[in-house]
Amino acid sequence: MKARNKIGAVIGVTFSFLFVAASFQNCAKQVDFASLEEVTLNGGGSDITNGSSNSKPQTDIDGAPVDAKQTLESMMSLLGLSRTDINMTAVNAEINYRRNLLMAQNDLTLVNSPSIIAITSLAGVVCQQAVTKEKKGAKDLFKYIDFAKGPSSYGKLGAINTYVSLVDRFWMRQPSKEELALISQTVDEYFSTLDSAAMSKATESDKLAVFICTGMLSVPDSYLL
Amino acid sequence: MRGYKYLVVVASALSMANAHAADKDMLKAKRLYERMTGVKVSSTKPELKKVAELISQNNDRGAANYITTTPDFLNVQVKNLSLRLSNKDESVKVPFNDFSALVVGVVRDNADFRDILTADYSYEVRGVANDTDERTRYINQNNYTPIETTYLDMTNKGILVKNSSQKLVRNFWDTEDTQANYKAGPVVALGTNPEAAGVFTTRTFAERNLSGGTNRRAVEFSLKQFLCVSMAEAADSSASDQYVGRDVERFPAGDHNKYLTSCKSCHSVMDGMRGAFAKMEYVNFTHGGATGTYSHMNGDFFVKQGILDDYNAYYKEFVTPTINNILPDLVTNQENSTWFKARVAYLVSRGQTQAAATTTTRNTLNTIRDPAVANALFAEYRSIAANQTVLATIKANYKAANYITEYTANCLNKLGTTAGTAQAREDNFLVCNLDGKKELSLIYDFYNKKLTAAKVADAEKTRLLNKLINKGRPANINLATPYLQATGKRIQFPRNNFDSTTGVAVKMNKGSYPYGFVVNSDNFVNNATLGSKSSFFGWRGPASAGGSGVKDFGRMLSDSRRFSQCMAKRVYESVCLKKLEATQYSTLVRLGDRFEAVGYNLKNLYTEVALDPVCGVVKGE
Repeated sequence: MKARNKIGAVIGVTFSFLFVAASFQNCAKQVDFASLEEVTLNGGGSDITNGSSNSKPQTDIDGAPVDAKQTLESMMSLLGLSRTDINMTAVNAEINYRRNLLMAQNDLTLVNSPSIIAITSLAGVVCQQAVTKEKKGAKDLFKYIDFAKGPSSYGKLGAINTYVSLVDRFWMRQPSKEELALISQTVDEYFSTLDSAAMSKATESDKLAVFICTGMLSVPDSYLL
Repeated sequence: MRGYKYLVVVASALSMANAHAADKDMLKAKRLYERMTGVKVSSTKPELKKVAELISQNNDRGAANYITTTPDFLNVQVKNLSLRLSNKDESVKVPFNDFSALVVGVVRDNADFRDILTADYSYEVRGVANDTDERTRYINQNNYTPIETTYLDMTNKGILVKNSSQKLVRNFWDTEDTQANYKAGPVVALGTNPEAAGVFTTRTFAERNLSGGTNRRAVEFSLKQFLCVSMAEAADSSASDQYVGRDVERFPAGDHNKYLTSCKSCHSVMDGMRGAFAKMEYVNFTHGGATGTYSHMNGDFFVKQGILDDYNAYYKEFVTPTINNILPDLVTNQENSTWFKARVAYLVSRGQTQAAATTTTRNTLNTIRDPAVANALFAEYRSIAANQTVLATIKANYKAANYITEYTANCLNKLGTTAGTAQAREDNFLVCNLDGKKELSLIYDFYNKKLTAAKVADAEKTRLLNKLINKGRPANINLATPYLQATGKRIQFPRNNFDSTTGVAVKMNKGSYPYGFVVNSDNFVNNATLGSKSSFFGWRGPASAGGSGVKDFGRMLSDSRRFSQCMAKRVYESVCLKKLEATQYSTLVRLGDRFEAVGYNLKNLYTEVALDPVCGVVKGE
């Protein structure tokens, strides 16, 4: 039952992350990418909390998603990974498996559910490489997470601080109040799926780091140029 | 004291203003970097800080120029451009290849970008597996794929290495050894391509545009990729159809008007230009049999290098003796034959165990009848009285129509003749019947019943029966080539697809329309010059009206204004991430002119486009 809860939470939180990113800086509401008329990612967007999205003027999205041969490179760039940091076999296996689902061109209309799933899956593999790298050497991305201990040692604050530092690193800004509220809720949900024994396991710290990293790489701001 | 307080307040205000400006510069740098490289970037990337620093000094141009020197720019943005250029679908989802390597190399080395259509140099990848093996460049593209699978940095001139000339394959030793393990010398015999012309003379271009067909695809591809012009746009119904080939139907569905109003428009332009590719072919290689190996070839090279003579000499020296001497020995001596022993020894040398090698080789032997077994069966068959009666009856009726239907006249005549002994006549008939009728032959039926009576296992029975009728036996050439491989004497040569006098590919003169143009050289004419077409393409330079060979064709395209504009359009759309619409013609012209003004340096074009106000990447530029 716990496992099922955890899977549910992971899926839910992943899409929460989509929600978080789409709503940052008053940029947009959660949208269906196929219906471009409603997408307003560049400052002209609607505030999801006031329910007035349809009454606001629509603007074009300024930018386009990375294409199939820019996705992995972008993820590695955001995480500061080089070829020597990664297990090429694992990463190549994943990118070869997912490439056909990734966007063929820098075209927003090509973003769809399969491509988002492909990006998320690829992000998971790349984030795992980042975690492995940090566990071996100096900590940088995940300095608020102690990989030698379980999540109970650094608690919710460690998770949220990781998120905040990655927002700054990836998106060069600070998280909004709404985003902080959502990430706080997300972390609560995540921790609620762990019992006290799991909270003390070091392996759970790996999973938490991969979880946060994957969620952040899977949102539009991490793949829109 | 009060003054000190004011100082603190002012300093704080200035500090906040500076911080705000720095943040703004970083965001501007991030946007510029991401658009120019196609890669998302984190705030900690050292290159980004350098870009922001240049922007803070009001040096946007310097910042953009700096970005064009970064690995991300070359390894992602330019590589993607090169991949899109290399295929008609303009997809980036194709493997890195020799075509792309040339484009990336030209950009990296700040060469005139027109070189991609005229250069006689090429690029290859070093520091990867088998990089000394020329087959990884000319027979397949394995040399290039590690660029992406191992994330190599092409800004490193020790990785993407320039070769001073383009080559073609004369022949190559068909060995499983890599060049590093092959001690007898170069695996591939190369010669200089007499008509090198940038990407046009790469294997990838040939594979995608010169394979089969009539080389018209190459013209369509070239106009689309390098001039951004479709065939429909290039078509001109008023142009002369003097050069339209013999294979184009002049009376489609019996209607000449349809040809005049529809077919002729495209073919006048396309067939006029396709002469440039007349001596080019994506050719299959052979060692006597079919191989599935292909590479690009030039007709003049094929003829002048005497490749056909080399092949004939090879065939005479190695293949013919194998067929004449080794194969009869294989049939007669089976597992004791030279062929069998050579194959087993070869497989063992490649790492198989003796048992596995023997089993593998026996699989071939199971398709070849053992004459000793067959002769014994004939003798046994004849020794049975009932069978003698059958043979006597057949002999008595050897001219009867129903017997001819069942046994064929050819075989019956061997029995009906009076020449030779009775036993020889019967054996000849039985062999003929066995070869002709296979599973329906007398001996097959006899052997089947015999094996069944002896309760031989089904699998073994099937094996023996199939062996008796040579079921699945390869053609002689396909039995000869494994032996040549095992003895290190298998060589592959390009097939002769060219006219021995002119060097023109045979496929260029397909068709039979008597008044169609016969291609006998690689001269070509530019038929897209009439009326508005001239200004539409902006033809310029010495080859603007036509020329001789693909290099001139490359010059014709790359000297045109349309080439500059097309490249500007491609760069604009990849940096600005929006279409350059037809209504923005003045922007297209302006960017094309800028490309020419910066000496056709593609890096500079990226800078020009990124800083152009219409692009909107850098606000306020």
